[in-house]
Amino acid sequence: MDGDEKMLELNQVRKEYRDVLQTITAVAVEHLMMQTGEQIALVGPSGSGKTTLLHLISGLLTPTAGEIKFNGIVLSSMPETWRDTWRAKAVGYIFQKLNLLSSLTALENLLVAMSFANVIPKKEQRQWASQLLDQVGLSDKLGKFPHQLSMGEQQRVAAARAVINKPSLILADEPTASLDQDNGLLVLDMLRQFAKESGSTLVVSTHDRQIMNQFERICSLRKPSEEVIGSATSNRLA
Amino acid sequence: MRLLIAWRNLLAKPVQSGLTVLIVAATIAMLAVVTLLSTGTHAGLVRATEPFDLIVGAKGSPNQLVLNTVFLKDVPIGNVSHEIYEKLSENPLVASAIPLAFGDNYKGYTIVGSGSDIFSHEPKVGQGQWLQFAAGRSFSVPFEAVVGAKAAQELGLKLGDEFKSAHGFIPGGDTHDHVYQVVGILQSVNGPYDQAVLVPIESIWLAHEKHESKAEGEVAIEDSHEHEHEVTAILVKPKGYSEAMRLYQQFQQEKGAQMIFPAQVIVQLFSILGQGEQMLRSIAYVIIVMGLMIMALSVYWSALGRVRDRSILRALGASARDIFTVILAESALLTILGVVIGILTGHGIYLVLVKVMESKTAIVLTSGVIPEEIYIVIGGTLFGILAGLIPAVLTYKMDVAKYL
Ligand SMILES: Nc1ncnc2c1ncn2[C@@H]1O[C@H](COP(=O)(O)OP(=O)(O)OP(=O)(O)O)[C@@H](O)[C@H]1O
Ligand SMILES: [Mg+2]
Repeated sequence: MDGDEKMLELNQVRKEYRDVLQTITAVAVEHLMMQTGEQIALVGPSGSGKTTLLHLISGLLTPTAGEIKFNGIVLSSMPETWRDTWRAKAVGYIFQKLNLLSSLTALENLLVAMSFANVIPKKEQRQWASQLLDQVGLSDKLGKFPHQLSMGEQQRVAAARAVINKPSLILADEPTASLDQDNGLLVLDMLRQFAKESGSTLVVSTHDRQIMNQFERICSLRKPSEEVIGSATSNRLA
Repeated sequence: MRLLIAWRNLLAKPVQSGLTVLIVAATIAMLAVVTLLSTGTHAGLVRATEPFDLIVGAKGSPNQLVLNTVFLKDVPIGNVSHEIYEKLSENPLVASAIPLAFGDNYKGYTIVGSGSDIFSHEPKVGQGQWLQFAAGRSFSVPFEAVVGAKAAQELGLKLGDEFKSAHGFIPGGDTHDHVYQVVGILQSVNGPYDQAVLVPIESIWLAHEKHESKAEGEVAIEDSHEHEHEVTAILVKPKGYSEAMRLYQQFQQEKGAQMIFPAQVIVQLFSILGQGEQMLRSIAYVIIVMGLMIMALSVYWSALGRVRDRSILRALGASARDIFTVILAESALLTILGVVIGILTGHGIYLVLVKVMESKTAIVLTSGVIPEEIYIVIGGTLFGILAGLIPAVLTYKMDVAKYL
C-alpha cells in the first residue's frame, strides 16, 4: 500500500447537539489528515469530543458541518447502506465500554462481525476467530457470554473483533481504560502489531500518558466550548 | 447469523419469551380444537346417518327417533304396526324396507331386532354393504346373534358364545330366559352400530311374548299377539330422490307413524351446534389477536431494552435492514414456535376428545389434518409476523451513536 496516500481527511468538521435551550458543540476539527498505515493517539480531557470524533470517522454520526473523506470519498455523501457495508469491511471499532453483544458468546461476537463484512471466506471464519481469541489469551473462553467475562477479557474480545475483518482503519476509544497495566499493554500491543502487519491506520483515544508516549503522532482535542479551534497536531518524527 | 441473534435474544429472556409462546400456543390450540371438533363431529354424524335414508317410526319427536334409531340412544317413542312395514315393503317407490325393533339390551349394549336383509343393505349404490362380516355369518333362525365390532371386543364375545338378553335399555333389567348364540361378528362401521347386537326380529317378539305373559298374566297374552306385529322403526331406502319426496308426501296422511329424513334432522342439529361453535371461534379470534398483540409488545419492550446491542450491531456494519430483520425474526420465531406447539397440543386434546366421544357414543370423529388448520397455521403465522412489524418499525432506526 502506498504510505503517502491520504486515507482520511477531515475539513472544518463540527458536530453540534441542539436542544431547546442551547447548542452544544461536541467536537470541532479544522483540519486533520491521516495516512495509510499511520498510528495516531487522540488525546484530550473528558468531554473534549474524542468519542464523538471517532463516531464521526466511523460514519455512525454525520457531521453538522464540514466533510470527512475516506480515500477521497465524502462519507456523508454515501447512501446509508453503502456506509454500513463500508463500515463492516473497512472499519474495526473498539468502544469505550460494553463492546459485546450480550446474548452472544465471545466466539459468536467475532462471527457476527465477519458475517456483515463478508471478507473472510466462510469456511475459514471459525478457525480465524479462534486463532485471534487465542492471540489475546482467551482460547479457553470461546463459548463464554460477556457477563461471564471480566471487563478486561471483554475488552480483549473487542480488540480481536476490531481486527477480525482485516480493516484498513482501526478505531479504539480508550481501549485500555478499564484494564490493568499488563492487560492494557497487551491489548494495545496487539492492535499496534496487527495494524503494522496489515498496513492499517490506527487511531487510539486515551488519557494515559504512558500510552500516549508510544505513539509517533499525537492529535489533541480541546473542549470546543472553551474555544473553537482545530486540532493541535505534533509530529515527533518530523 | 441474524436468526442466531434473534434466537439468542429470545433465550436471554426465557420467561418473557416462554410466556409469549404459551399465549400464542394456547390460542392456536383452542382454535384448532374448536375447528377440528366441529369438522370431526360433522363428518362423524353425517357418516353415522348415511345408511339411513328415511326412517319411519311412531309419531313424536323426530330428534328422538333419530337418536334412537341412528345413534341407539334414548328410549323409543313407541312402536308402529307391522302392517305399515308390510305396506311399505310393497310400495313401488321403495327399494327396501328393513324393520328394526328395540327394547332389550345385553350388558347395556342395545339389542337390535331386524331382518337378515339388513346385512345386504347398501347405503349408496355401488359402495358395498353397510354391515360386513369380520367372522361368521348372518343369523337365520331366532336367537342367533350378530355382534357389532366394538360390542364384540368390549364384551369379549366370540363366535359360539351364548348370552341372555335383559329387558330395557340399561343394564340390570329383568333377564329374559332365552339364550342367544353368537353366529357372526361385524367389521367396524365407525359408527354407533359398532355397539349393536343384531338379532332376528322374531326373537324379540318371542322373548317379549314370554316375558309379558309371565309378568302380566292372562291379559297380557292377548296383548302379546299385537306385539308380535309391531316394529319400533323401519329403515326405508327409496328408489331415488324423487321417489323419496313422493313417499314423504304420501306418508303425511299416515296416522300411526311419521316418516323423517335423518339428514335433515342432523342439519338442524348442526345449526344449533353452529351457534355455539361460532361463539367459541369468535372468542378464539379475539384471544389470538390479543395474544399476538402481547407478543408484539413483548418483542418491542425487549427490543427497546437492547438498544445498546443494536448500536453495536450498527457499528459492526449491520444495516438498518439487518436490525429490522433481527427484530422481525424474533416475532416470527415466537409465532412459529407458538403455532407449532399450539397445533400439536390442539391435535392432542382433540384425539383425547375423540376417544372420549367414541367410548361414550360410538360416533367416530374423523381425525387428521383438515384444510382449515392450514389456514390457521398460515393465518396465525402471517398475523404474528404482521404484529412483529410493529416493534421492528418502531425501533430499527433509533439513534445508534447515542448508546455507544
Ligand atoms: N448525544 C449527545 N447529546 C448531547 N450532548 C452530547 C451527546 N454526546 C456527547 N455530548 C456532549 O459532547 C461533548 C463531547 O462528548 P464526548 O463523549 O465526545 O467526549 P469524550 O472526549 O469522549 O469524553 P470522555 O473522555 O469522558 O469519554 C460532551 O460535552 C458531551 O456532553
Ligand atoms: Mg469518550
